[in-house]
Amino acid sequence: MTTPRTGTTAPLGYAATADAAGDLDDFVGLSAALTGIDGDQLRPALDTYGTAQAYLDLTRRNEGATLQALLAAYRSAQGKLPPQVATVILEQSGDAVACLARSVMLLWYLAAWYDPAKLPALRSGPPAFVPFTIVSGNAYTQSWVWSVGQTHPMGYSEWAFGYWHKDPPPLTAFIGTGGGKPK
Amino acid sequence: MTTPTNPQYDVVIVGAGIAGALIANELGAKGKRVLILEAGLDGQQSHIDDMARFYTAQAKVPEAPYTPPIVAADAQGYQSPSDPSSMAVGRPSTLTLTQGTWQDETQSYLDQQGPLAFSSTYERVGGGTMRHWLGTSLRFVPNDFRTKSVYGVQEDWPIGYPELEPWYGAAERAIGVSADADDQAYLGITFPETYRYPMPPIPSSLVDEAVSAALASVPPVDGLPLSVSNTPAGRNSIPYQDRRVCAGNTNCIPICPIQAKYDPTVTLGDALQHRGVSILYQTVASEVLVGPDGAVSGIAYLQYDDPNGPATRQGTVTATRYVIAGHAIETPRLLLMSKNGGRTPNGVANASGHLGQHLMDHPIYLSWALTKDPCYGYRGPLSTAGIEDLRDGEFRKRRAAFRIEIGNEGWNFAVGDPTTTTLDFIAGSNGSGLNPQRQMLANAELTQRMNYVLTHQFRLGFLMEQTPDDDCAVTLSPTWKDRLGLPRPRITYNFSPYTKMGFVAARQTGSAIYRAMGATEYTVHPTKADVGNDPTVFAITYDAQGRPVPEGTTPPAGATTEYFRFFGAGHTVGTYRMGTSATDSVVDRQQRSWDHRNLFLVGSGVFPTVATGNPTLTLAALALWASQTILADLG
Repeated sequence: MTTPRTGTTAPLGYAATADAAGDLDDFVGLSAALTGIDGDQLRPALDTYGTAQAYLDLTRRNEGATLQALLAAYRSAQGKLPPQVATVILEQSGDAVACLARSVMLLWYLAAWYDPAKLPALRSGPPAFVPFTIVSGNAYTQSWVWSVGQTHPMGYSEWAFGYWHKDPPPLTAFIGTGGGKPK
Repeated sequence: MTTPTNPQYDVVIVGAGIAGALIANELGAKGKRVLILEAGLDGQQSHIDDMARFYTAQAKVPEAPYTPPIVAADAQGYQSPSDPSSMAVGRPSTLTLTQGTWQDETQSYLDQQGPLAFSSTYERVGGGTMRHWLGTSLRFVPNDFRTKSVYGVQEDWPIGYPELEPWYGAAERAIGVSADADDQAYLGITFPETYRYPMPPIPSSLVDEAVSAALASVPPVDGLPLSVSNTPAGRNSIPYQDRRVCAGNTNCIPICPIQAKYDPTVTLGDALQHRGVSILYQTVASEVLVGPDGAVSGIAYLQYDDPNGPATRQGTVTATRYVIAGHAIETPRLLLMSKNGGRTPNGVANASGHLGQHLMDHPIYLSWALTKDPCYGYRGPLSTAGIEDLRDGEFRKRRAAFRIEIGNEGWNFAVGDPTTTTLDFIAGSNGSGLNPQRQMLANAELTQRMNYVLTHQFRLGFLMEQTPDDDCAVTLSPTWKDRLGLPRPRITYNFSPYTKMGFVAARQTGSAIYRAMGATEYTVHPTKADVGNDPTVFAITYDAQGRPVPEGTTPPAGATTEYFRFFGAGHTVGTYRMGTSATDSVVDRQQRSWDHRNLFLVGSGVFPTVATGNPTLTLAALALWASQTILADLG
């Protein structure tokens, strides 16, 4: 079972971290544009898990230089709608940025880190296994693919007996209205 | 190593799974002195750690939560199977069923000789393999006990449904089964007039309802119309045994986070409350000792401190009666290891020569599809209903029966979803078969596509009756050992044409159901090239009349060859079957060894045939029955 951490309530907690340049805000912003999930869902006002910070830290640790390029690509898309922001990042900013963006999307969807250098082979080659790691137990319980499927992570239901006999709430109740506000 | 002195026990039980736990609890309640020897670690106190292991497991296989961990991580954090020769108590894993692993001594615990891979796994931990069971608590149908006399195939049991019926009721109370007796009275199954299951049924899922709505337009199969039945479940629909109700975590296998699903640690905990019942963990029975009078005189054991270390102590325990409850692979392994200095060269309880033979499973034919309208999978227990109509019928004269399990977990079993499809639509692969254009999506296109796919996925699993064959057997590996130096199990495994023809009927039935539902089937079938390369793939050739063509003969004109992939159901059955004579069976109808009358062998290993229902309820009923025989012996 997952115990909510205490003492990390955002945004005050994050303001004290090393993200003075707004990296966390921009990381959440680009994540929302890429994943199609509202930024205020990815990083709720009362964020007991600190998932966004954890994913930013992980990405910085693994791919620090490319992360700066990814953030720069996002910042260059000022004023665009979220789908256009995604296009700028994925199609107009070079392969390295695009691959890291895909890894960040997989982080949010699956709580799993995939080495961005290993992703291109998936598209061109036959079905292959790409190794990955699960970020943490808490991250697994907060992984977003389940919400996109209008359900809960396998092994982490917060619903009550018999819910499966009824239709779930609409998709917007799980992920918001689609990737956040214009940059 | 030291040899402690042991007090006298009434009964020593090897194995703390459901059979051992139920018997210990019954004996303990009557004041008997019972010692349980459990090879594995104490699994009762580790739930939070088990959940943590599950959440971070890269492959969420049935074995993933349990100790000792079935995988180890490398420097990058990538997990791969631990070397079984380094483990004091090894166990099989579904991770080692591939061409590169299934016969590798450093990967596979089982010394698999094929030609097919035995594909089910088990746990060696307090609570046993039922720690990762689904919860399905079906009774067998009466004809399952008499296929030889009714259909001229397989074997009859030495007992029948009417004798077992009261023990089924007792097992349903012990486990805590949710069902309605009226729903379950099919194919000859009967209940006492006033019988009520301990709890009302688990509600059906929207997937169940989508299948049910279409079955009226599926043509009868072998003359039998199909219908959806609520599945009796060992999970709580109301609070029971101080455990809460199911919250639909969709994770019964491998682990229920809230223990709304029964597992044997519940009964084990009850048993250990009795003054006379105690348990030794990390204690591996290594030999069943037989005295000059032919009776079992003790059980020798090894103990270890480190799960990856050697034996550190050894000893012998003695009792009046002995119960081996190590299931259909570890029980024959122990008995075959027991040579008694050469006085029992073929092992203990093996005068018949049948010990270890007739290993069975319910090999699964798996098929999957997208429904026409959303069915909202990945919700509720993993399965809440099935199609039971094809568990019995005249067709059993010529091919295997099966039940159809309706899955509530989308394509999780089928393709490893939601991971596989997520990778597909983010990274442009096509592991799911849903992305042939190799699209790479983002933003609303991604959420819309993923939402459509995940809310329309479902699967059907066909649990096949496997015939009891002499060439499906457990012996001892001559060369592979565990960390304690004990020989690991060697397995030979194959399917008869009768079993394989069941797969043909299953494929046809599944496709007919999908057509009636307006669903789009995505089942991936293997090809000829996979036979012999993938140990979970086989071929079957049959003539225009649907009769199997013997292997090695030239198929007649109009013959058809099909290729199937199968999965294990986790139902390890057979290997010390009960029967009516000492020459053709290992135990009698009381589950007592023909050769050693103070020795009982319990668990699904006693089943002469695997029948068509998940084995747990039947083995639990038989264990409760055996406990009363043992009590009568003890006086």
